[in-house]
Amino acid sequence: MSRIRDKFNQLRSNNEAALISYIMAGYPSEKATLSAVRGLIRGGVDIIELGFPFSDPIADGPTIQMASTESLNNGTKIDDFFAIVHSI
Amino acid sequence: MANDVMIDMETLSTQPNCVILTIGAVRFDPKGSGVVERLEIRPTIDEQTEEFDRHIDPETLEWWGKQSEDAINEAMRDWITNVDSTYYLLGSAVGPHPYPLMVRDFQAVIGTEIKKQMKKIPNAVIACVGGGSNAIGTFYPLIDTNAKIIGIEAGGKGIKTKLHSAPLTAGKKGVLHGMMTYLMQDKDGQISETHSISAGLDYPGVGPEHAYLKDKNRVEYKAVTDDEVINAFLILTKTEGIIPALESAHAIAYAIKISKKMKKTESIVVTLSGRGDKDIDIVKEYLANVKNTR
Repeated sequence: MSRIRDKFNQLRSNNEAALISYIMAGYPSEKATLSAVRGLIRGGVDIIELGFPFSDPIADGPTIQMASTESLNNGTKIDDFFAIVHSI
Repeated sequence: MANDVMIDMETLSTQPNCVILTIGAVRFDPKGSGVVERLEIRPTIDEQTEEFDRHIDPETLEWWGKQSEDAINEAMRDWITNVDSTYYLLGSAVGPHPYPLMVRDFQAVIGTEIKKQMKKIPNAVIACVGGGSNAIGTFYPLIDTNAKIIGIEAGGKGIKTKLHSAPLTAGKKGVLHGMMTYLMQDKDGQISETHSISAGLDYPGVGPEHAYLKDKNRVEYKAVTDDEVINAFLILTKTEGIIPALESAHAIAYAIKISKKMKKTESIVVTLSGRGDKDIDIVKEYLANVKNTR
């Protein structure tokens, strides 16, 4: 957690807001997730929130819901998720 | 004046030329007298498909097939999005606090009536458990008595086949629909498909108070299979002239089982949570399939 706090502290001392993005792991594929993460970093994102797909994502809107379903259909498991986190 | 009108249409596809199952409308007074006029139209499906070439979409059929869970998801999503203008009300003892407790308190009229009408505490009470509203209403006023309390889940085609809806019997703890309870899920926590011959029990979770009563060992939760349920449905219909809902027939099936081990002087109360008129076609089809496979 301290990395997130450090990031906020660093941004605050520069008087900057944080740019946080969200993407669904495994949508549309594991490979695509990794290249999307690379793109986001290059684009200047400060923090990336990586979504773990869930069968019943009731608190999410239609877009994330669809990405979640698609990712699960592609066979994303919890081990795959941590593998993605590890390669990032 | 009652000039508010609510219309509900159920269809078998999302296209404009869909087959219509029902069109229902009520005229009501939101401030006082409630519904003042109602209308329900049920067009025949054959006429629609044959004469008017109306459309049935397999995806919509599939959705209806598992509508209880998906409908809760959609209702909750809408509620969360429009929380200022939407009131959430679900007809079972599930969901986030305080809804399960509210439903329990309203349903508790069942257990209170049992005590009043029996004039004594029954030796055993049995109710079917899907979300668990009729069951928690039956059980709650009897928790502090010495009655044996049993909740019956949908064992479907058998617990080992995984084609069931018995989270208390075979599920694991998890979070769904705003509650922590026993759920049918895989090892990643993804909610599994459920199966039951009765739509009312076809739900992957269960009201959180049932999870608590299971953990406290106050209530025993068991499952019966579709076969046992059909058998119980036929027995009650033929011997008592009462057609039970397939949901309630789960409780009857278990009552038949344990009655053999009980004394004649002992009493069992079974909650008959619904009537079975709605299930006649399902039973007919089930019996026809049994006949064909034998």
